[in-house]
Amino acid sequence: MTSTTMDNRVPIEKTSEVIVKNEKGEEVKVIKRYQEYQITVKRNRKVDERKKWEKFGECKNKTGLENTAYGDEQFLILARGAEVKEEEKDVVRCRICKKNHFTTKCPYKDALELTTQPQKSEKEEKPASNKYIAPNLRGGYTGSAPSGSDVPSIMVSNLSQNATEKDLHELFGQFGPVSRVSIPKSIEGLSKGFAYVTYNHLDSAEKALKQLNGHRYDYLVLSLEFAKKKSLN
Amino acid sequence: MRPISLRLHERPITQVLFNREGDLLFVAAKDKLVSLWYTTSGERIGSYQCGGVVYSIDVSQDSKFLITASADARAKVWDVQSGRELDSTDFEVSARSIEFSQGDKQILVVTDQVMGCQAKIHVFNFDKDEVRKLSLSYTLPSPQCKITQATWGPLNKTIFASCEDGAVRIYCTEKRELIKTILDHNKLVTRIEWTKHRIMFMTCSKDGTAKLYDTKTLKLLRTFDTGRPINAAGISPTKPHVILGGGQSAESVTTTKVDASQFKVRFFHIVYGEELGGLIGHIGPVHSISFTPDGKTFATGGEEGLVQVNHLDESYFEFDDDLIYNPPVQH
Repeated sequence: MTSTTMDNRVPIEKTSEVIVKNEKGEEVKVIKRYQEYQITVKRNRKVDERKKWEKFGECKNKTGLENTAYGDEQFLILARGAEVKEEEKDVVRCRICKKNHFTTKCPYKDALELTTQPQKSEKEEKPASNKYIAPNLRGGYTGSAPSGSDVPSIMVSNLSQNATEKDLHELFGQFGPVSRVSIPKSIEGLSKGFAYVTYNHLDSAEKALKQLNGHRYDYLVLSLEFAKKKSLN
Repeated sequence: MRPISLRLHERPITQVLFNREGDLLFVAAKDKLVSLWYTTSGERIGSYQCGGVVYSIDVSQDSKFLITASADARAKVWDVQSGRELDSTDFEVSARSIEFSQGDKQILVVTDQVMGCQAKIHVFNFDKDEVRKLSLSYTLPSPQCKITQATWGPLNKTIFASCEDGAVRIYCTEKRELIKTILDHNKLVTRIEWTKHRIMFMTCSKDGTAKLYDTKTLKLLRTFDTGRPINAAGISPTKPHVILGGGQSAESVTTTKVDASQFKVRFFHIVYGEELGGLIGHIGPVHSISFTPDGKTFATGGEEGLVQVNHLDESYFEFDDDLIYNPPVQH
């Protein structure tokens, strides 16, 4: 449309001489030196003509800017080589392999189900009698207490809110294999200040109780005791 | 970059079009209106009231005549400056696509395949100096399926038609018959876009890909896969970039997952075929993209009736400067 070019980048030196009377009434010659750049602007005559067009139709006697809005500053960031990733994560997730597709369409479905199915069938065989069994007592559901082991959980109180399950695994793992660590949390997601730790063996539980009761952890002193077993009926 | 939003149309935009100098912007929409704007300021000059949904428009090289194809089965010729209607031709069914030939001596009009009528390409003679009337020259044989767009090939020797069955059909204007069919897309081809000087062309399809072809050999050069229907493409006349726009069609929005990022216009490198970035702005599918001939501005029109005019920043032109296809310098 229109383009501006600096035709002559070398400035042309010019001087002007003017004779002026100063305060005392003397005639003084003032010499001004200045530089001139020549700039050529190419314009399209037809485009300039079109800019003078009168508005017609609905726009007659209007500014024409009623429906025009200047948007917010936007930044067009272009990058080569960088893959532009879609934000489509976590929408569909396979329950078997945790990848981005439906569970029924999982390619590892057959392979993984073979390993898990025998365990399921064993559990289902247990309640063979016709007697009604409450849902929480059925084989498939273990509830909060680990089933099949007599090892009581250790209740850890006076626990720092910063402690995570991973931290407790590290701390209690010193005395033997830990089967479960749970930290009850409030609605806001903050720790309630206590935790349950379950060992695989009673020995390690007793050892941990002895060693860690009164242990300083973060800025608090832990107190441990065997958790009372939940009465299920 | 501050995009200029033109919020006049209440129904989906069908086409945005710049004139040869790029100072005027024409917008056609389904609300039976074609509006005329200044590109630099976003000021509206006027509008042309059509009798039906306007599917396609074109403007002559001297920016004096506007032609429209609309669903009231009419092709019309307008005087751009005054908004006066100069001529009108009736068809049996709605007109889908319209285009001036190179040199503005002929006009092609595509009619729809509905109500027992076959889709056809009609070619009219147009004398812009004296008569300013449309006179039918010939009609090409029907491809037996709906044509979404037809466009003149280089030197008006051929006519390229994008079809509903995913084919691009090429007709010879001298023999007036089908000479070649390109069958690369699986779904409806929405648009054919030419590069500068018509050396290459790009087809956009509902199957989620856009394909770049060499015009002379019809060899497939590059495929751009976006994974969503593409309605429009803009090829920068100065930079090796392609803009693709589209997104889920309006009728399938309620049945499928939709997020706003899928309606963004996406920049691709024409040589490497990789995605460079994108611009979010539309909240519906983008139906039309157009570049000004100087490559400094582009406009997009969407389903929601919004038109955005983007004057590209200086920083855009600094990017990738070594890859501009300059003609070889001879010593």
